[in-house]
Amino acid sequence: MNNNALSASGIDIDALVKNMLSPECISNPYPVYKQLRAHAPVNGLLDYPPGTVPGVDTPYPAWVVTRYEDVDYVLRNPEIFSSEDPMQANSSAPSLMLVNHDRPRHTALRNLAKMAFTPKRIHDDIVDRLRIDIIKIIDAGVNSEMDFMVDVAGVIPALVMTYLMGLPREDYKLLVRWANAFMVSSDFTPEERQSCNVELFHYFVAKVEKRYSDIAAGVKVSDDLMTAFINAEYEGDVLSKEEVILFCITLVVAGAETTTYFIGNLMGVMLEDPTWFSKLKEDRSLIRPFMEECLRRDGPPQRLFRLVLQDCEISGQAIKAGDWIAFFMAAANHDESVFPEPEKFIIGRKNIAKHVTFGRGIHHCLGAPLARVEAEIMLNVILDKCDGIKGSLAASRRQSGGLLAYGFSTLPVELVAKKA
Amino acid sequence: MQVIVTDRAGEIAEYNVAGFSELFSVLSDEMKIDALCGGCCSCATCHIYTDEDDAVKLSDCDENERDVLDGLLHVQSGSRLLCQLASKAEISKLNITIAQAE
Repeated sequence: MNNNALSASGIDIDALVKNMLSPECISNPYPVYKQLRAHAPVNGLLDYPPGTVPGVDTPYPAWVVTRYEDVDYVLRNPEIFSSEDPMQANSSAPSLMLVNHDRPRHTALRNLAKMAFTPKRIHDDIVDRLRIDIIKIIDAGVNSEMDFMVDVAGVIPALVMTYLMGLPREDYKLLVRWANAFMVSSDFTPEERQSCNVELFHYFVAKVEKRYSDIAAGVKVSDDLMTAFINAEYEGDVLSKEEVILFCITLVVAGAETTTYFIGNLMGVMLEDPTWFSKLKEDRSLIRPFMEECLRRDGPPQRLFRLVLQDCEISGQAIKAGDWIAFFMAAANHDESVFPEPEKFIIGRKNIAKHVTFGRGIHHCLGAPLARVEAEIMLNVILDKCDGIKGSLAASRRQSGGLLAYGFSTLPVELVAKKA
Repeated sequence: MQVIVTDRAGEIAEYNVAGFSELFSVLSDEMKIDALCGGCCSCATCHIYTDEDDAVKLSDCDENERDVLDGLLHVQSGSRLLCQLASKAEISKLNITIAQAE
């Protein structure tokens, strides 16, 4: 659609939207968001939802929503903005549980997921094992240059998925690859992306089938999240086998890559301003506000899509039922009218809880506490085991494969071991 | 309205607020509650305990709130979601305790 394009500020807004999928914009989209926030929503972004394959699937033109107030409106009104994703549904990708459901099925599924995904399970299955594994990873990596994205940030969330679902530890590498292919934010050929989607699906079909047959045969099975999904019952409702498979897949693709980028971005802030290392080391109560400001300023998930069910207006722009919108949480998190000096890293912002990195409303991120636990353990282990960090952001590179996530593709650092 | 809040660390602080939505906002800004869903009766991160004697002054717990509370591990009598709370009668002073994280 032509948005009649030269704006009052003289910016060619159509060209700006068209350019959003350029590697330059993906690796630093914030200046573009700033220009877009000066406008009501603009139509015409041809972008790819998770699971779809560039070069194979055809994107629908989406309205671009960037202001905090507008993003908040979309998040809070699921009856107007459906999470159904027709583009993903028509692709080779497995559809996602909860993420792509509307009420009332969403409520039933969320209640079932809550029966399985309890905080106690998160705590008991993860915290101690993860601390031990991170200590090993850091001990093995100190005092020589490592790529933090490969050696630490890429490993932690995928390991956690193996703990949660009772998978062999070594399979974490498979999970990393499949999650990266699904999230359309790394360099894969269309064929690789499609075959990753198929492999991911078949892997969990086999694992879940085996678990069902073990349970049926009376074999003692591990008390993990996969078993809990199978056994979850809420008011007489249970998950079908296919739903259990799709839940497992959803956890991997939703939890692995985003958390990897979050963990990487935390390290990025410590390289940007080396005083953070000693400040956090001396006062661990700063870790939580440090993480929250990183989630706001550098939150990995950039945008999500919704299908418009009713004619509506966003910032005065008429939007019609059947239209497709891309709303940018990351742009909202940089809205000057809510977060002054948004590019600055300022911990203790009074309204920091209002960042929308984990979404808001009924589709808020179920894994947010898990992401925070993983990041907090990682930071504490590094602060315990190290005296400092060497490295420069000049040697790093941000991923430029897809607009879904903001994060490093490579982040060379040297963790300096604590002197005995 | 004066609200005495006991947080998860056991620390007690006093808040003078116009209503529960202001309290919700202040406690989330202070990161004493996560308020993940932003107050739409979904995430239960604003789970609090109220004194049973105060129940008459507080809005009734509706079906949606009851459904969310039923799914929690640390639910007890007096459990409410702060985001859903309103006053039924004038409240001058109220004690609440923030439930532990789920």
